[in-house]
Amino acid sequence: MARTNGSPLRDFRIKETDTKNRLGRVFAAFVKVPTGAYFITGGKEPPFLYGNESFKCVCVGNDELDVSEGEHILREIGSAISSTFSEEDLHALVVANYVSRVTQFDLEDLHSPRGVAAEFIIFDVGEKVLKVHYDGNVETEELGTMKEKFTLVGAYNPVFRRTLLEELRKAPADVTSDNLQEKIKEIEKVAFSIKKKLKLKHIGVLM
Amino acid sequence: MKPEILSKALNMVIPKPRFLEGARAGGIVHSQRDNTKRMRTGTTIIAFYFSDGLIFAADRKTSGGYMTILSLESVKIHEISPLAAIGGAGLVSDIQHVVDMMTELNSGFISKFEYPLSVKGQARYLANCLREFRYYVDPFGLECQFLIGGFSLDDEPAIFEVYEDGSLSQSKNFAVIGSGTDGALGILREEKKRLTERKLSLEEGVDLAVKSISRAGERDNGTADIRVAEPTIVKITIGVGYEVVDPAIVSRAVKNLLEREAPRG
Repeated sequence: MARTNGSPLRDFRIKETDTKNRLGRVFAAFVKVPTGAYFITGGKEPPFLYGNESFKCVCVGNDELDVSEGEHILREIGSAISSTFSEEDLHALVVANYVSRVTQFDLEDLHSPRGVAAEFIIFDVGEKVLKVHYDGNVETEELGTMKEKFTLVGAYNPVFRRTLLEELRKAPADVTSDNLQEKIKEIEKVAFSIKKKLKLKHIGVLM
Repeated sequence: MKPEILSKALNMVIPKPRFLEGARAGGIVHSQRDNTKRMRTGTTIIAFYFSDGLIFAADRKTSGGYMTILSLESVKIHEISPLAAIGGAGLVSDIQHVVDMMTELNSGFISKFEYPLSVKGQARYLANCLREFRYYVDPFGLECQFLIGGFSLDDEPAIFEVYEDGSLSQSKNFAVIGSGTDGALGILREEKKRLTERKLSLEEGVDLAVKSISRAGERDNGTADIRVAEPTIVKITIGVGYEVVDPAIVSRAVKNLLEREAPRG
């Protein structure tokens, strides 16, 4: 993206649109099941998974650089909290708060023309799911009041999103420890169907 | 991504003590205290595990150097969060500053992130701060040492000792700080097995706390004799959290101890 000689707001809009566009064909979906949740991710690159006993975080990005930027952000807060407090104090909200600020500051930094095209889904185990978008916005959904069985980040391309939503509605949400083997096959089927229909280089399921 | 962005965001998520920021901005402060004549600590604070959680106990004397008693009603154990307490020995102003800092840290963390800080997290934060103070307040940093104890989200109680040089250690059975450490330690060591097994009832715990503070008071100038000022005893349990033990129970334990140990004949 070339920097214009126009107003900072114009530069910001261009940077924001470029970052959003780069997240058009990348996604991470969180699917709620009675025993917890699983993630389906897709894009050009594999996602980065981070977490501890209290939360799980999936970071997806447009390319390897974006995913590694996301990884760097997550590792930074992890090590800072561990050295300042303790590993136990790294909670979903701490991570969401930090990631949101970093992505926002980075997008607003007009000296760098390239925004971080990465988004994050943070599962606060048993309680809620937090989605941190590329612009720093945080969306929180309580597990008990989720309208759909799934929620997702990325997929800003409207055509891509429409097809993806149709496929994700087929993902099983009644996975329990008893029917796990059987349901894994169903999840795989949905994942391969998404990969084929959306012509993705990578598709992944994280349990 | 610029490193400044990461550190700017980090500063907004992890609170920094205000005094430390001021000290950093002002450069090194040379202490005017006469280190050859100073009394490092003048108190006794103990903490140990009992069947339902933790017991903290402290004497109530505040002394001004070796010769002056400023107060016999001081409370040296403070609630810093609903499930954690801190006891400080050393310079009163430094202790008050640290207690305020820790209270602010805990309330800020809970209101921001909806979770309480773990006891280990609080202790490490304090140790980090004290270590940093050493670089800015010459020559020894803050003149105080602390016991921090309480419950974390995993329901396990923990006690940590934090010293002015920034050292941190976890105690598996009991911990003592202050000038009366030697006296109190002797009593606590006798009960080490039961303290390690965490089988003491509240009554037994109060008796042990009173006896330990009593021994410290007999041998140490900086610790109040229990006949002059009854110790403060606090319990922390998972159900109720921080709670000061009824002074009537403490008085009874003091009376029983004095009767048991009174000279016969």
